[in-house]
Amino acid sequence: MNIKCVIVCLLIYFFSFIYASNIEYDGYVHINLRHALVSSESPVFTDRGNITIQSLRTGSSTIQQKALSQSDKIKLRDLSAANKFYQLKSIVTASDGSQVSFVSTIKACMLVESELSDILSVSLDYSGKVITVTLAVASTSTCEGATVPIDKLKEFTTSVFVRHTENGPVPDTATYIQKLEREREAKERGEVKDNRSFLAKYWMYIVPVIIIMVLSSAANPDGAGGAAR
Amino acid sequence: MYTLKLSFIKYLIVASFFNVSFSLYEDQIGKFDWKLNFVGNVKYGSIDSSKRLIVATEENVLASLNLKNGQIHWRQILETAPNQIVLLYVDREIITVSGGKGTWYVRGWDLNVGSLLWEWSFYMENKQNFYWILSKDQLVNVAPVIGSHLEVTQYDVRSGRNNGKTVKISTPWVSDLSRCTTAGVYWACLSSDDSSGQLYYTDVLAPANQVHMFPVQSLIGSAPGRVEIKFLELSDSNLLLIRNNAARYIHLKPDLPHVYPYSLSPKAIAVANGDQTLLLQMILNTTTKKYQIQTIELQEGTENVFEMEYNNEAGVASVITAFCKGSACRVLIKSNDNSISLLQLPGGKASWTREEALSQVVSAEFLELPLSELDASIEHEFDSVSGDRFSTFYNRIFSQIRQLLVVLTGKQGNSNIGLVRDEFGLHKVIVVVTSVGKIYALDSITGSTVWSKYLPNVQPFLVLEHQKAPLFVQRSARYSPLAAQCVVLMKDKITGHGVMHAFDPITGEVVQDLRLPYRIEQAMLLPIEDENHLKGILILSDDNEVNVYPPSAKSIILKHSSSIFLYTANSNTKTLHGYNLHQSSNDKLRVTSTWDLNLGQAELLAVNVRPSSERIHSQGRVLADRSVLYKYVNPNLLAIATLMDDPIHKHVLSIYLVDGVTGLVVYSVAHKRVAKPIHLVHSENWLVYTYYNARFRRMEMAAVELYEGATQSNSTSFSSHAVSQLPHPETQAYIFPGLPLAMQSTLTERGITNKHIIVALSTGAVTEVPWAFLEPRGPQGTMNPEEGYIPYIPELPIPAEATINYNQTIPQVRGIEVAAARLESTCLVLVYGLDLFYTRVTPSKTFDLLKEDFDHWLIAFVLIGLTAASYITKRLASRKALKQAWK
Amino acid sequence: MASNKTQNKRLKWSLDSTRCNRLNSMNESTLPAPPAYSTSSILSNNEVAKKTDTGHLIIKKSWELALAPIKQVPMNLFIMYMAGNSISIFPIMMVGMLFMRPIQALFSLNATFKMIENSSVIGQKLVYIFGNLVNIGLALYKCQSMGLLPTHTSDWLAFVEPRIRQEYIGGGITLV
Repeated sequence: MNIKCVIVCLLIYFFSFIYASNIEYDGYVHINLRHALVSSESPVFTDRGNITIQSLRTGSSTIQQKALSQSDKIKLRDLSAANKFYQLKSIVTASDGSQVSFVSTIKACMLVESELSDILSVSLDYSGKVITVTLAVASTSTCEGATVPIDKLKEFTTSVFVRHTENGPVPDTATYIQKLEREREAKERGEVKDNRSFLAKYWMYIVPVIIIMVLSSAANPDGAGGAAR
Repeated sequence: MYTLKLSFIKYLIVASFFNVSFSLYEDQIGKFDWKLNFVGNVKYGSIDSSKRLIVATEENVLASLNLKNGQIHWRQILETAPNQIVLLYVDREIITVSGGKGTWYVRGWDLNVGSLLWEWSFYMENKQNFYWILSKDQLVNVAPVIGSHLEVTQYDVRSGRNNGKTVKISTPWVSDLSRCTTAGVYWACLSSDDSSGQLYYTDVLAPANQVHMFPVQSLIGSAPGRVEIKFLELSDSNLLLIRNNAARYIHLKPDLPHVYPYSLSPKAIAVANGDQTLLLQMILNTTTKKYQIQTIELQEGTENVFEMEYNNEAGVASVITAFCKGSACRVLIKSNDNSISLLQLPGGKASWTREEALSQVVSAEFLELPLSELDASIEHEFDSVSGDRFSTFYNRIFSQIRQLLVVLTGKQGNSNIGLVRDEFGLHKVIVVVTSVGKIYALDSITGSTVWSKYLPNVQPFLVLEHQKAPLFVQRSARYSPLAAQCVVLMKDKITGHGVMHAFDPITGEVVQDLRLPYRIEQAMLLPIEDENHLKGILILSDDNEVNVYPPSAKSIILKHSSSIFLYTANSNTKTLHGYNLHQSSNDKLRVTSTWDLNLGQAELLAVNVRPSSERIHSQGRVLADRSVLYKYVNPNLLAIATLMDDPIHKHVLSIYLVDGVTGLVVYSVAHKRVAKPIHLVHSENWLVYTYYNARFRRMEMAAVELYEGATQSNSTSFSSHAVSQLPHPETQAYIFPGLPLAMQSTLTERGITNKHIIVALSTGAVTEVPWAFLEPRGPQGTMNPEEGYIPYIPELPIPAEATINYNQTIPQVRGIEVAAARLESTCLVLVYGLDLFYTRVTPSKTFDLLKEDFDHWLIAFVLIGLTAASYITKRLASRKALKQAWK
Repeated sequence: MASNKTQNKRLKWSLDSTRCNRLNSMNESTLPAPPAYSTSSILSNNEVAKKTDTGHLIIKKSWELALAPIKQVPMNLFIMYMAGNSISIFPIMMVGMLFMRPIQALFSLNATFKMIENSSVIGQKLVYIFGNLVNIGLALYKCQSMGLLPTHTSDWLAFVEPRIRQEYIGGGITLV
């Protein structure tokens, strides 16, 4: 449990890494979540909840999700036990009214093992348009089917992360020229004569020699004999 | 000045770094590499004399071939597509007209050396079809406007001087340009495509511009069927009227056109023979199924039929050009597989054949060779698990005897002697698939063709404006006696349905050739082998049904259905979809969507995955404080490049790194104000891409490296479903002083050797850029250089020593294929474009190989000498000691 | 006890002094003995002294032996300092010596203390072992500072196996 906390914290740290300075856009996004609790060829999606991201820039969001009904819990448990996939359909309504839907799939057993705590990652392109919504579960390893007591499956605890597109790197010519300049200066400075006294310059060599002499004169009567053996 | 000097010193350091790692000695030229030169798909040809053949090709190459052996005498490469050579005229000099997109170039070339004598160009706003006529030093440009008029402009062919103005000839009868042609100075059109129409023609150069009109019926009689009009190649003022695949020769004259009574094939050509005109055509003898060449003397009507001793499984397409002197003719023919051959008449023998299909390679693969029989028999000794003592003993004795025999006789077994695996795995077979549907197997040592196979009526898939034919290796030659097996997927030319051709890459033997009843949407090689070590192919049809080849592999899919995923990127809908497989109710395999990604309006430029055979030796990077930064090695990671039009930034390049199983966007980055071309290389935990920076007007290369952090979340297995921490990216960009045409990263057996990025440049050079130069140094990198890292230089050097093709220019490169040798240090490289170039590169030098000049004899002699000397001195010493003892 | 000590201390001179003492004893009456001087015990004392002398010598010798490694420590420290932290042939040889000597000494522990027969030298042995261990520790420290000890994660990086992939993907841009 503790490890899980750490992972979630780490994830939160990584996910919420916002490059606020570069973001030129803002807006709100409304996401309607629907999930399929029965694995089939043409899955039937039922309502799971709604998420509103008030500001894409800050990533602040409000999440409203219903508790799972008893039948849904059983369905989810069965899905997990059969090592099937849990599907989530997110219908995204952007601030300009356009609607796109995305499907995302995770292993049901992982969701169940995490006791319905999941992460919703909303990826944006450079202009702030949602390109995909992905559901994930924080875990270090996958599972091959699992059964969990049904009373642990109560409510989804979802963390929503808005992921922005970074600005690309540019060839760093300025620093390089500065570096060259610095090197040149250093070289010029290096050519200036060192006016320090002999002792000031070479004390680090003289001191050990003195120490040796002192040590050897002190250690000679006994120490030298001991060392020779 | 000082800075300059410093940077020069830096450059020297860098250069010395390169100098050590690559570069070739003069005597090593051609030792590890070979290059095959091609001219491309021949479009126009002209035999100039008994020595020379001038050809102009679809690939915009003008070349002079030696008529005796077909070798390239000289070759000039003009502008690349969409430019086209539209006119070739050979007289005392060669005149070409080439161009497209409005700009046209008229050039004169020297016949003997191919040097450019003169050139002029002009711009034509008119984007319609153009027709070109060269008549008496006048280049005539005919631009028809449908239903209205012709715009005729005359230029002096050498100077480009436009004498006067554009003449407009009223031609309201021009209705469909497919029914029009030029014939000498005439412009001719049919008014309808059946026999009831009229033939109109007019002399575009005549001042009066009189239009002649004759009913088609009066010329070729009336019969049902489509009537087509075609210019008779290599003649003047003549055309062919074709109906039901039979053509009539019509000579246009100012008054009445003359119709000759010969029945010709639509592909007939006319050849001047002294002052006679000879008609040449190819006919297929229906009984012997052999091609014959028929010649007809135009005036006298004498017909001759020559048998051809030339055989080509692909079938002969057409006669391109011919040159006759008396009864002897030389005929250049082109086959359906784009090969050209020179036939000699009356003998009918082919003097030479050039396999020009090899200039149109669409995919390539290196394949391991099987073990020699002897090695195989030794391997097989340990195959039988249940081996009883007696049979094992028998096997051992048998193979030992064989070994002895080989040693005594110095001979290998019977079958294909040359094609056996060598110790270092440097000898391979390169299977290349060409766009005409011909598959070749090349010997990697010599570049010679081992076998070739023509698939009729197929064409490659068009993927993002590039032709692609997926080539999968189902089984390598490692599992003898089971033969290696490859599958190539193409589509039918007519129906567009899939074509699957399974073959043995070593012998070319066809395993199965299937015409599939559906279109192929996507295909993948299954990761799991069956009991015969054969990896299945999974083909997704356009109605989302999954087909498996061989069908027995279906059980494997069902068993591993939770771990096999498929993705498709649709460039039309600009979406990506992930799928998983499951069995539907009617016992068929189907896919269900697992994730979607919507790129919006962005144009999809590239999708790239890591090579599946790549192995990564080191799982992390050692930092200066000796801690480890673990690499984020996700084998399911897709790199996607898109370009989007933007009102402010013109174009924005977005790079997405997406997990192909879950659809999670792991990392995304955008570059503003950039333009095509864009190339991606995805390997290990990094991605390198190039783009044109429109703001600074230069090519840039950027590198992204993904790291997991100081700990590995799961050290034993990697699952895309288990997201424990997102990788943190490190990026860096560089100025790249070149225009890349193709990029690829080197691949070695175990991944210990350094990585280099092989970049084919527009200059014809193929250069190596060490990954160490590109590696992002991290945020503090420039301040605190870690041990062994090359200091950051914003402009990447492209030293001449790094050019792997030294002075051999490789034009129009389309792709680079790499493969690992069994020698860890060595990577085999095939560069394909107009030419084929093969070489081997050693990014970390040949650390696992003794130098070539290593003196084995000297070291052996020294060792033996020293041993002997020590024994002798030992004896001498003991003798002396004995003597001394007796004293 | 105090006299004993003085005797011991003046051991070298005892022969001569006894002779003198004998002379002195003849003239006992002439001169009073110096304070705290007793003639009676000298002879007998001498006998005892001879016995304890060798015992003491042996003990002294054994302690000398036992302390030798510790006395080497400053010298070793100095060598270490002089050798520097760069990895080249001489520093490596020096580090090798730093290691070899105490290890050899530890292995030849019994041989070293063999000459000190029939007296228990467990204390000395312990000190000797301790001294050598200190030297080994010094050598280890040197290795550590030279970066020769595999104490960092990076030293084990080469043994980290590539992770086994759980899922496989295939596909690409649609071919239709």
